[in-house]
Amino acid sequence: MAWRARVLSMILAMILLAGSVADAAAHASLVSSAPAAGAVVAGGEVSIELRFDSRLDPRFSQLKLVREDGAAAVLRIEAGGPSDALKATGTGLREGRYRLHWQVLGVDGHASRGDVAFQVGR
Amino acid sequence: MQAFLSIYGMADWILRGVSMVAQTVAVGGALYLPFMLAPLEGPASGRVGLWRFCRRVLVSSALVLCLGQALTAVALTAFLMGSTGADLATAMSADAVIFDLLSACAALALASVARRASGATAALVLLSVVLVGAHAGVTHAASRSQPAAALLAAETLHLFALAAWIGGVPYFIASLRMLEDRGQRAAVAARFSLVSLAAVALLVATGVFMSVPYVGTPEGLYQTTYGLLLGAKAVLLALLLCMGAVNLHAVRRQRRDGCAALRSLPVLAEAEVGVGVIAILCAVALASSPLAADTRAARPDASEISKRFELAWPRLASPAPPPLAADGLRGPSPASAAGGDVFEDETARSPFDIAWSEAHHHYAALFVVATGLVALVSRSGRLGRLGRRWPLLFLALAAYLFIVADEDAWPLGPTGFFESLANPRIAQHKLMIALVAALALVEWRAQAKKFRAAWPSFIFPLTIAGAAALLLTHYGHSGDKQEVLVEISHTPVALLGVIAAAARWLELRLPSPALGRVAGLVWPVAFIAAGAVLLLYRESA
Repeated sequence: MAWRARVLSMILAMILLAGSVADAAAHASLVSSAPAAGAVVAGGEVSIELRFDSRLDPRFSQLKLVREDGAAAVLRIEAGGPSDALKATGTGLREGRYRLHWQVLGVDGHASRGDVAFQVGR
Repeated sequence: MQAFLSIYGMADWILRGVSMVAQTVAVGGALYLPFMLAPLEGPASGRVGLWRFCRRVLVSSALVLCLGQALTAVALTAFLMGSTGADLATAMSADAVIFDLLSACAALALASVARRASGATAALVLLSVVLVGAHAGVTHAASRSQPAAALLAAETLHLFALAAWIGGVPYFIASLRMLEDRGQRAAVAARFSLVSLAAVALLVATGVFMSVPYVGTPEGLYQTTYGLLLGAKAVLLALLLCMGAVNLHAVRRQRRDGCAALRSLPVLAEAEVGVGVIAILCAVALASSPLAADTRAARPDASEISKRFELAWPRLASPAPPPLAADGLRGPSPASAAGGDVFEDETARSPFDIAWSEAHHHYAALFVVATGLVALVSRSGRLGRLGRRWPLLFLALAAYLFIVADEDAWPLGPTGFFESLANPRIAQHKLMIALVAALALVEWRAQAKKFRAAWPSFIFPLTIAGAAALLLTHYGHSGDKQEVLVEISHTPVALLGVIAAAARWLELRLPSPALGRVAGLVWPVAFIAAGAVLLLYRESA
């Protein structure tokens, strides 16, 4: 009967091995952004559009604008846009550096997040 | 909740890996029982026990799949509630949660149908279709901006072919062991060979069909994490095909020479399962990686890649660490030295970090080459009993890694040993080092024949396979250029590790002394080759 134990332990090993793999990045991943990373834009009202390589569930997507002093504001995502993009508008943006933090859920169930740094200049 | 949110990525990844393997075995069984075993004719000796055993494997894998998918759904629901503030009903209405729950229900129904003595073929096949369909619903094909029916169909067929082939192998091994009638064993072997051939053809055809839009350009194959993982999967498939060719040869020979030729088949199939699982894990990593065609991050060009493989003398001089800052930490990274803050690249590495990493990769490579050489020479018997002590080189490697792996921690750095274990990265390193040491001790005793049982000998190839799988699939954290360059140099090492593990397993298990001798030569040579590739490892341009 030893071989039966071997087949069963092989399957158990398969499952344990599957559990031993490490974390990996997930899509959806960012394909393009406006403002682009590192861009300098005029202040006041800034149109934001992030495009991804996957369809998103907008109910579980978030955009947050973080100023260099750490103050953060959650942006309202515009409804009715393309299924692979997030649109919002940043208002009252003063001169300085900003980080646009995004978190999305692709329809394949992979949650991912990232940042786009840009600057508001004169 | 914060603690859960921080480990969610890892938990999701583990659950996906476990579920994918369980699904492959469950669907493989749901196809194997009605189409391989049910049509057998002739004496029933052994068949009742085999049927019962196969059913148990099928039910167990379906239950593991059910649990894995249910936990995936729960974890995603909790993540969505915790990170977006959604209520329970909204979180559970996410597409992926619905697909996960559908899959869990189908797996439970499959286990229930398979438990019955006469599992209905139609129900088994229908539930397999539901399972594979639910899985296809959370793949690249389904999530593309413009989903294409042809890609979805290809993804579904790809998953079915994988299950019919790799998922069927555990049942096939059981059939060869349990069927007492030679004719029945031969009939199952011939039929499974045919199914495997068709499945391989389907896997290759659908794989190539999907990779064209997913990879985009030929450069995507070597400039992105996705492309490199796909390449690794293709090499694993080639390895599986080599084993499959030997199996096919044995099946054909048995028609001429009787069933003696089938004796090696179960052992080759065991190695096939191992390599198949690593290929499945590669597929799980691929499913979590951004498509090469959509990867817009800076990519390494051909000259940057070729520089990483230029022949150069190994860096064997350990660099002097920079002076400690007042707070006990190493000097500033280039980013923070330039006035960095949260907007800077936190992954930037200092020249010291790079020199330290290169030097210690090269020292570790020397240990690996020496292990392979001693193991190879000892086969000739020239080294006598000393030759069987090659595992001690692994022990020396573990001791070396313990000292140098984390330069900020004891014994080289200011952070105490127990204090350093609070850092997950250091704790992970220490765990791996402890495993290497334990592996060396077990294999040393196994080589000295200190164990009565045979199983401790199998720990060595299984651990090497596990380490190779980890090395193959743990990329993708950033997907940036530096990571791709590291992946390019580590992927061949991982693939050589798979070859070494499979060869050592075959050497231990094959009944044929001639084939076993060949396998016994292959694994030390694979070790030497892996060490040689590591000696070329460069992080600096």
